[in-house]
Amino acid sequence: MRIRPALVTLAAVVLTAVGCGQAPEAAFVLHQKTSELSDASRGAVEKELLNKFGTPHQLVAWQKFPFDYGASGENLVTGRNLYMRHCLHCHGVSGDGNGPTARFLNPQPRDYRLGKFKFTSTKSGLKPRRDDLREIVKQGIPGTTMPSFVLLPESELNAIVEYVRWLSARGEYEQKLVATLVGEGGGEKDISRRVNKDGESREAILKGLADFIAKDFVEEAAIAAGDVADSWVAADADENLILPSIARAGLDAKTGLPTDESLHKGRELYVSKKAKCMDCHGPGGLGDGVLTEQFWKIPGTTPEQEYAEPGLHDDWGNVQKPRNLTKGQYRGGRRPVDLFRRVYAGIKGTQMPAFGGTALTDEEIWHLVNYVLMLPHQKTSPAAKHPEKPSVASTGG
Amino acid sequence: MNTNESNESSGWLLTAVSCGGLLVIGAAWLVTPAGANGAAVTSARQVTILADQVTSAVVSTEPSKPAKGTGNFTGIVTLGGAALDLKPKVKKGDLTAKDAAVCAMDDVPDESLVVDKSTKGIANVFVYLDKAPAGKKYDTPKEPAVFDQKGCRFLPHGLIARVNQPVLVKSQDNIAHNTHTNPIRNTGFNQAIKPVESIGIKLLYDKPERLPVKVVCDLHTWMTAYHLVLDHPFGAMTNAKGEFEIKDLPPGKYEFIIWQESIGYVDRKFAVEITADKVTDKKIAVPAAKFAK
Ligand code: HEC
Ligand code: HEC
Repeated sequence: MRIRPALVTLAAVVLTAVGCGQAPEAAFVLHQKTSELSDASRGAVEKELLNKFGTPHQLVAWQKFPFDYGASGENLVTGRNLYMRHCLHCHGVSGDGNGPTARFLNPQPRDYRLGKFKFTSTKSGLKPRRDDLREIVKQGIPGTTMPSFVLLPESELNAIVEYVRWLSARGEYEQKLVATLVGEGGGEKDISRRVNKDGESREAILKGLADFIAKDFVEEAAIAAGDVADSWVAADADENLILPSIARAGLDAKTGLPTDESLHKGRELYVSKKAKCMDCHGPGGLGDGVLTEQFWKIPGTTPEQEYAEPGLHDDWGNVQKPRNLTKGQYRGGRRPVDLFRRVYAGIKGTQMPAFGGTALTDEEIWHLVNYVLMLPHQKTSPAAKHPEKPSVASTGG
Repeated sequence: MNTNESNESSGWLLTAVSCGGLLVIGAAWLVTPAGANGAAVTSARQVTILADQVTSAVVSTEPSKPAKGTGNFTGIVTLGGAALDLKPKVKKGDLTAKDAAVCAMDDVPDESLVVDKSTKGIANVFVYLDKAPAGKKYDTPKEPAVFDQKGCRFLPHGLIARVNQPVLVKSQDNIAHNTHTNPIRNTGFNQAIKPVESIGIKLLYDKPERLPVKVVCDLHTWMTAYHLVLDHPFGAMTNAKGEFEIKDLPPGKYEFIIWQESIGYVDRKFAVEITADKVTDKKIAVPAAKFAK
């Protein structure tokens, strides 16, 4: 579903330059994959990005890129200024998660350019709502260096969110353009291989690429822009918000605490053949399931390549330990509904799959949530030693 | 202009990356070709074409006739050289395999290169047009495609789905799987599939993809499959003998993509001319050296 006509009117004219004054200037850096393209292909990507997004000093607002970034062009400038002050040193000028302090941090600050965010309230595979991003910035991410910006006024938070969306769209657009050109054979390594191994003529290859860039690239770029825009619009659509179909199940009417029965069900599901939480999070929830010892293939590699280290990886290529559920620290929020959404939609950009609507009913997810929330309070974890015998000794607390 | 501007800009300018990046942009522009007009590009062949002429001898089953006024494209993709000896990914009865009770009931073959002993044909090679012939639109098939799992193996290993045609993900196994894709254009899918899912979970691709999308199961690392998503009917996957058939193409000149999972492109632009009411048959041999690791 395209949204152009209505929203184009919202777009401001190209935002004019911010005084630049002292050098060195902030500049967007190219994605590693972009720099690995042949010269002409890389040039085409750079030109597109400059045309549609401008520079950090001269932001080009959405009139060339079809989706709503909220309010006026000025909002984006405000967002940028705030981002530069509060976020840049971790998330980088380009939103690549590679700011000056990033290399000292674990986990790494999010690289927005994949267009993927982990902690959302939207259905499986979808981008975050504005509300999700605002909530993350407001609350921070416990257990990581991502701080809370709860003291910023709402208007500033909103402006920052728009800028994060803009940076993400820019980065994802870049990656899509690169994917298109790589598909056309524009990767420098690929060209060398074809010339050296398959005996093709370099000239012919470059001519083919030049022809593609001159003729079809514009259309491909427009399709890519539309795809990115669509996905951000879809994220904010109400039908894509996860709302549990039933209120939290398994609570004792009097105490309001989970019943033993619910905790039992949760435990059984946790180790069951149908949920297999245990395979990743381990029998006792320590985050040490069998899958953490396996070696994995790097997605999108042909021929297949394997990660150097064993263990689950996220889509950014970082080893990603399943959460230790006995610590009671949740990155995406600790309200029961937050955990419900994590299990329902999976954790995006990671190997934890979505269970909602397919493997588990909403009621079952609630029992799991009750069980997970109890785990940190279980003094000894008999279950850890006897995974085959689901046993919930205490009711937590 | 925003009032915050002046007092905020100085702070962040310092943290930044050097101006070098901008210079590079300028320079790279100059080398961007300014419209290599209409020059036809002939891609160098990566494969050996053994016979370029129309023959139908290789297709053992009688090829079907094209619909009136259109032509069919048939052929066989073979391995030029000795087949590799691939070990099964899970050996039957291997109790150390994950979820052995279900996954080691049978061998799980390595399907990265499947070669028929007698024809030397390579199975699961995708042969397709990147885009629909200019100006043409094709209806979505009404029937959903079925993508099943049995013995911790995806069935089929390769599947061509059309845009907006539901793919029903099923499972005959008595344990959970998860079906995980990372497509370029479509929304990624990473959904747990419950044991013995007989109705099927709907996976919908609403955009075409240029290359087959890899499908994995994170609970069983060895499970892989490929989905190709097209917005037209002109794509096929080679059968166990290495044969393929693409029916009812409007007459004209085409460039087909030929793609195999272990090596990627077998050919980016395999040129074929389709004549009305005729079958155009090609033999395509892929040198075994291409598969050497
Ligand atoms: C001290 C470093 C640091 C600063 C400063 C920082 N972040 Fe982060 N941020 C992180 C880290 C680390 C993560 C990744 C945490 C993880 O992977 O669980 C992250 C993740 C995020 C995410 C991803 C959330 C998701 O659902 O995937 C967003 C959005 C984000 N930060 C926005 C911001 C914004 C906006 C600012 C400035 C207002 C900011 N961050 C400042 C370190 C930082
Ligand atoms: C394929 C492996 C895998 C499976 C199966 C899996 N998880 Fe996870 N889970 C992860 C990983 C990896 C993370 C950490 C993601 C991150 O922050 O990058 C995680 C994180 C979590 C979190 C932390 C959320 C937060 O906000 O910090 C919870 C809760 C959780 N999983 C519960 C479950 C439950 C319940 C199940 C079973 C229904 C399950 N997981 C199945 C891999 C898995």
